[in-house]
Amino acid sequence: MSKKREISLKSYRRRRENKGLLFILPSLLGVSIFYIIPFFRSLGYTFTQGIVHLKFVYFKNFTDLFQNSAFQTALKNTGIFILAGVPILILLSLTLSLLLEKESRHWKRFALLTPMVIPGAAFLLGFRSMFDSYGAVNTILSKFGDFNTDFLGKHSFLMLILIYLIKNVGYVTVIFSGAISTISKEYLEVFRLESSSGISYVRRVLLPLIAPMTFFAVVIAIMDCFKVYREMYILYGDIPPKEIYMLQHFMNNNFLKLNYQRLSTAAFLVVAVISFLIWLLLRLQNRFRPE
Amino acid sequence: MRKVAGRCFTGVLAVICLLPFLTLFFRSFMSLEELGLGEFHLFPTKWSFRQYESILLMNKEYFYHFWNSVKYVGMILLFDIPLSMLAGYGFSQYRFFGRNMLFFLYIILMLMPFQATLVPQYLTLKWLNLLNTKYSVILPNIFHAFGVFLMTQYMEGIDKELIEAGRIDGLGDSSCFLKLIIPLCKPAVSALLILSFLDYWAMIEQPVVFLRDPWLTPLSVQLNSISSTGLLAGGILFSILPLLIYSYGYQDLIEGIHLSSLK
Repeated sequence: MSKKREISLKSYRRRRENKGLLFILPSLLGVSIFYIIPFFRSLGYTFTQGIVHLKFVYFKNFTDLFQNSAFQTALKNTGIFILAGVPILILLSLTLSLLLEKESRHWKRFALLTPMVIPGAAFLLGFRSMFDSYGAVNTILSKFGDFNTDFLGKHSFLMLILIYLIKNVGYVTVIFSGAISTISKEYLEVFRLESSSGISYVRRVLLPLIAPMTFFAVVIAIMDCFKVYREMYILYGDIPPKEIYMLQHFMNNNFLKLNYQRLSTAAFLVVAVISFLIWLLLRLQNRFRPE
Repeated sequence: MRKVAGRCFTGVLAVICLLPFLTLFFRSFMSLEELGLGEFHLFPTKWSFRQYESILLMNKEYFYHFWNSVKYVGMILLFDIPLSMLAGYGFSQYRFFGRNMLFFLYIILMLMPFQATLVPQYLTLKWLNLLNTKYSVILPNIFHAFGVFLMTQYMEGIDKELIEAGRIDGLGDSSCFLKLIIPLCKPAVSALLILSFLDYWAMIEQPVVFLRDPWLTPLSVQLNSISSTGLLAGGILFSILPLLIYSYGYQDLIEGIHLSSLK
């Protein structure tokens, strides 16, 4: 009798928990129609060739892709951009959040986020008048000699890194500040009893404690590398200088050229890499999580 | 000594972040003659409203695209927020079969760059015959995974005992949502409103790819090509709304960024 009741209680529980799906359904329906189902349909392009008669070609699209010179350029540039931009952004934001922790200057935090708040098109109008041939930087430099550098034309990669840093440094700083503020002050006091060095506190206590957060910040920083496409588009349109031709351009251009096979293959690779990164992030965080 | 150096460092960086906007602001009050002078200077020698006049009084296009932006962002938010709240409720309060897998999927979707979802979105829009209509930039964004993620994170933090108490008092699943959860979610809703607004107000990728007709595009795409006589003023006018929302909702925005970090 009691066993039977237990079972019915269990199935009641399960039925109750399954109601949760009902609430997700409206969102899930849209997500399935716009993202998930067509993604699996586009997988078809990844392993086939031909337009009218589709032919299954195994991994030929992938080997073709890696031999494509435009793709090689795009991959290389994106890689360099990530390797150069992400570490600087993380270090800068971490330093800022550690320093701001001790300050109560509200305007600084407010100022750091403004480049993210202002729409890219407007932000770049200001940025441009600072860096074009007759801009602020050239005017200052010309006091020391003959300077008339076309920064945006000749140093587009450097300019892009700068834009990336300015636009994202506020956001990542807020992420770090949030992580740091959750660390209990007791840690600091206990550590003070044994050592007096502030720097070794940061190195030996603080950094290990915010390690999982740092990994998350790295993932966000990598995603933001893809988002600079907006700024690149506003500055350079569809055809950017060769040194900043990125994966985003490669994919967009192949879309415009109706080469869905190549685009889907590249998209598949991006999705795979990102999924792996996030999976790794979640695993790491589970391991770091205090019991 | 070290403290002073630290303060200078943060101060300099804060000023650098403000500079592009300040430059734009001051130079939007220069007359065209002064702008064309060659030599750069930040402050106008003579304050002039000519740029604003030429945008506000003589440029119909500007208003047209501005209105497009308002329409698109408004429509997206109108549907995005309720849908995100519903799904957030489902994810945070129920442990159904496949819940973790599904949530993982949302996280991946949230972090995916637009170009990776370009083909899927295009295929669906083509199938629904919506390419080159305003719905092509509205519909896919309504189902944005970020909102669901943010709401879930926030609702996970709501006291479980409160919900239990509500249940004992006889609240069903939906009335629990309507009467308990929604009133508690005000900070999260406002954070989501701000973050989504900022993102969609500046959207570039989707309109550029899905809209052929330039008349349909929002101002974020057209700003640079609309007016040569009032360009900088146009940039300032375009930034006013985000700036206002930001200064009013600063605390909520910070809260939202904290919530959207995977902890």
